[in-house]
This record gives sequence, C-alpha cells and structure tokens, in this order.
Amino acid sequence: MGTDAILRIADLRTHFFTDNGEVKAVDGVNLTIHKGESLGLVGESGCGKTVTAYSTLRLVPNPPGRIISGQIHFKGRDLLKLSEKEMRGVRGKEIAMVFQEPASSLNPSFTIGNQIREVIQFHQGGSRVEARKKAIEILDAVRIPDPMRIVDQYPHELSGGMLQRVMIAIAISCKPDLLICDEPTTALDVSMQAQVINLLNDLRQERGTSLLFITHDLGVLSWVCTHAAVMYAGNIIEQADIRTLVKNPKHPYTSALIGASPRLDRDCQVLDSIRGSVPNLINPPRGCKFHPRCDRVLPICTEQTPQLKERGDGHRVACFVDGEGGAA
Amino acid sequence: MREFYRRFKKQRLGVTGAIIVVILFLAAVFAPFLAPCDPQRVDLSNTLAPLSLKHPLGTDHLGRDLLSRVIYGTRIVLIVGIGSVAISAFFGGLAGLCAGYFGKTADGMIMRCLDVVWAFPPILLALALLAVRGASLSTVVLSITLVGIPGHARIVRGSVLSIKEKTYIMAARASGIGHRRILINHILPNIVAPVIVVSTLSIAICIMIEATLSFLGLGMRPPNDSWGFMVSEGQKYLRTYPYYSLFPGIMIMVVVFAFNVFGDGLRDAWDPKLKT
Repeated sequence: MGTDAILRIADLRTHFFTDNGEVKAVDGVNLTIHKGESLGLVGESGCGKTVTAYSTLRLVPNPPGRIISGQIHFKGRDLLKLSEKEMRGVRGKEIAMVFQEPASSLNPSFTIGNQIREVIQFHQGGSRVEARKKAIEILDAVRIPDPMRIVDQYPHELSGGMLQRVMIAIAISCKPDLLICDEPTTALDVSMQAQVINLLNDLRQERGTSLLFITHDLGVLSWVCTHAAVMYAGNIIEQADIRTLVKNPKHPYTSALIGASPRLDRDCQVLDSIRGSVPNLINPPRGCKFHPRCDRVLPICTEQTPQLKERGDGHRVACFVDGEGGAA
Repeated sequence: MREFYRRFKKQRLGVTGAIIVVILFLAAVFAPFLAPCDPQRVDLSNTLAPLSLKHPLGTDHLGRDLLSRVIYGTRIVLIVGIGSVAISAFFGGLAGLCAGYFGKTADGMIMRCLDVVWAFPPILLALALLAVRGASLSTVVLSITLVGIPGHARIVRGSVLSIKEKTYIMAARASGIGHRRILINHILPNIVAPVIVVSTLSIAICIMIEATLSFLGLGMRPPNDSWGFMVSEGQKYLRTYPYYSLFPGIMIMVVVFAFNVFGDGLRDAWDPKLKT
C-alpha cells in the first residue's frame, strides 16, 4: 500500500436548501484515500454517502444542493477551486463513477459501443474506428463474453450484471486514478454481485486504480475494500482498515451495524436492529448525532459533538465512550 | 438507420400512411403532368358538369376541372402542413429544450411567453394575423406556425424534464461530458419519439386549420386550390352538386389519416424496445 493520498476530503459540507429548511446531508466529512487503496463507505440510507460521492465530482444537483465549504484535494489540486471546464476533464478521465442502477445508467437510445466510444473520443480523441476498437478491448477486459456482438447491442438487450460490467467498462475506459462505485452491486443478484466484485478487485490489482466503494452491505464491503469508513448522519464516525473495523469496532453505531448484518455462519433467529431511525438532517440532535439511538450514551454525548480521534494504527473514532473521546 | 427501416416496414398501418404521403408528394411535385387540365381554365359553357371521362371529378361553378384543382391543392396542403409544422417544431422544440434543461429563470420566462400564445384560441390568433397582414400563403403558414409553437415547446419541455432526471444523464455528466453534448447526444434522441407523434398529429391539425381558414374565406384569395376553400365554395351547391365539396373533403380526411398513422408507425419504429 502506498502512503501518498490520492484523494483527501477535508471538512466537506454539502447542504440542500429545501422549503422545509437546510438539509445538512454532508456535514464535515474528512476522508483520505491512498493510492491503490480501496475505501468502503458504509452507512444507512440517507446518511450522505452518495452526496459525498457526488460532491467529489461536483455533480450535486444545484438547486437545491450546494457545497458549502471544505476542500477536496485530488492529486494535489483542490477540485472545488477548478472551473467547470477543468472539472469536465477530471470527470470520467481521472475520477470515474459507477452507479447503482445499471439498467438506467445507460442511454436506451444508443448501442453499448456508441456509449463507450463517446467517452473515449471525448477524453482521448481519435477516430471512430479506433475508439470502437478500444471499446471492444475494454469490454473484453471487463470479461464480457463475445464483445464483438455486445458492442452493437442496446442496453435493454443485456442483463443487469452485464450492464454493470458495461458501466465499469465505460468508467475504466480512460484509465482513471480513482473509481467511485455507488452501490454497484445492490441491484444485482448474489452470483452477479460476486462476479462484479471479483472484477473490481482484479481491476484494482491490475491497474492500481484506487476505489471509493459506497455500500450498505458489510459483506460486500469486506470482499472489496482494504479500508472502511462508517458514515452516520453526514459525518464519518469511524474509520479503520477493514479487519480492525469488523473485528474490533469502537463506535456503538459500527457495532450495531455489524450486529444487524445477516451472516450465514451464525445461527440466530432474530437480527439485532438499531432502534429509532436516521435523524432528521434539518435539525440534527445536539451533541453526538447518534446519541438518541445509542445504548451506551453518556451525559456528555448530548452536549458535545465528538471529533474523529486517532486510536492507534489508523483506527479513528468519533465517540466519547471508552474514555478517550473527543472532548479532551 | 437500416434497423429503423426494417422495424418501420413491419408497421402495416404506418407503411400505408407513408405510401399515401409519398403519393401526395409526387402529386404535388408533378401536378402539371398529372392534372388533365389547367386548374384555372374557366369554361362557362360546362359548369357543374357530372362526372365524365374528360372531367373524372366533374367541374366547378366556373367550369374548372375539379380533379386538376384537387391535384394542385396537394401543393398547398403540403406546404402549409409540413412547412408550418417543421418551423413550429424547430422553434418550439428549441424553446422547450432550453426551458426544460436549464430550468429556473429560463424555464419561467420561456414558458410564460408561450402561455400567452397558448391562451389565444388558435383560429382567433390566425384570424388576427391574417387581418393585419392580409391573406396570403406565407401569412397562413406564419399564423399556423405561431399557433403550433407552444404545443411543441410543452411536449419537448415535459420530455426533457423527465429525461434529465435519469441516471444515464448523471452518468454522462460523471464521464465529463458537457451540457451541449448532453443536450444534443443524450437528451435529443430520447425525445424524438414524442416529437414525431406530436408533429405528425399537428400536421393533420394544421391542414384542418388551413381548411377552416379557407372555408371561412380567410385563407388564400381565389383563385387558389386549397381544399378547404373548395369545400367552402362547394357548400353553396351542396344540394344540387355534392361532388364539389365531397372530393376535396375526402382528400382532407385521407391526408389527415395518412399523417396520423404514418406518425404512429414512425414512433413505434423509433423505440428500440418495441422490437418485434
């Protein structure tokens, strides 16, 4: 694992201005991805994972969303300071993204080949014929059987797993340094999930692409990621390498999340569920945002917001429980 | 494109419509060769003649050959129908595209302006324009175009609004593709289907508006061969000599029908999902 950070998000705040108030979807996220690393971003629905990803590419729909503050350092540049035109050169070429719903992520009016070609030609130029050849190569690289035939097919003619591989093909067609995957396997069945995950793993190893992998499935996470960050209500609350996080979670929310995941090797009738629901992000609870749902709540939790603190070996936690807390 | 043609061929009704449209086109272009007589040649000794070999559809109250007049009428119908729809689809489409994609202020301003036009009853608007500019072919086309713009803009705007929320637009943006390319390469092809349907339907409507205007005596001045005008002239002789109104009337019906089914066929052929 290299030590140089490829992406460093510092104190990112992305808020949505709605009629009901300001939704603080991402509220001070700090995140670092090193070269060749694969970071998983976990959390419940609506905790700001996708908004973090969109913010990184500066694709937050505006209105109503806006990046309020923060820095996104990518290969030494602050993406938030680039012009829209410079940003277009980053999107797809240096940072690419794969979306959750493969079936709706491809334009139904064009063949697969046309859509890969468009991105290749946009970023690398070259003739149609060359780009088409590259498209076929890239389809082959993502292990699509019979790429010569698939390249001329329309999206609706392919299955979800195939489409997701096509999406990955488009994403890696310009050899990006960072690949953002927003729940790429959620819409797929289990065997397809496995294929896509293996593909992502191999691509990461072969090409050295860093990965930001968004998911709510801890099982998938442990397969793909070397590191993981847990997100809750717009904040990162715990970050560690995947092994530490699963074996020795420090934050009560992380423990609860792990407890709530179904596992085949454990015989249990009822899964632990986390009581309560995701807090309202217009008026989040005072202090630690998790305290209304936390089983180990301390008096200080309702008063002060814990900060992400190093607990050794890159394990960082934002919690007052277990002494070390953020207040001191 | 070859794929599109193959799929279109399977639409039996659509092909029928297309054939009729093609025949009309040929008739319009080759009118001087097809028409048995000069449509404007007056023969007062042979007015309102019954159907005969010389005058297959009879003659009108001035002894002009009705078949020739109907054939020449195709020209006006096609110019007015296709011309005004093409222009209004272009401008309406452009307005709708901008309004839908850029939203916010642009949307509000464009759509409110078009609402003003939309608020007028179409015939009334056309009447007002014709009154100001005087009756002529270009004024008829202009007024029908104007009437058609808001409809096209609304359809396009609605389609754009629904398509720009699709993930593939976000995916294209995430690939670095700019607004202009997204509009042209990703949104436009996906709104072609509804636009084709609306356009072909409104060709039919335009032809009827033109017929109505001519029927009211506000279209082109005589002598002209507009079918609507012929129906209105023939109205006076409806009891004694129904052919005068009947044939142009039938032609209006046929054209409207042909464009409607042609449009439906095009739409079905365009949608890659409806492959059979």
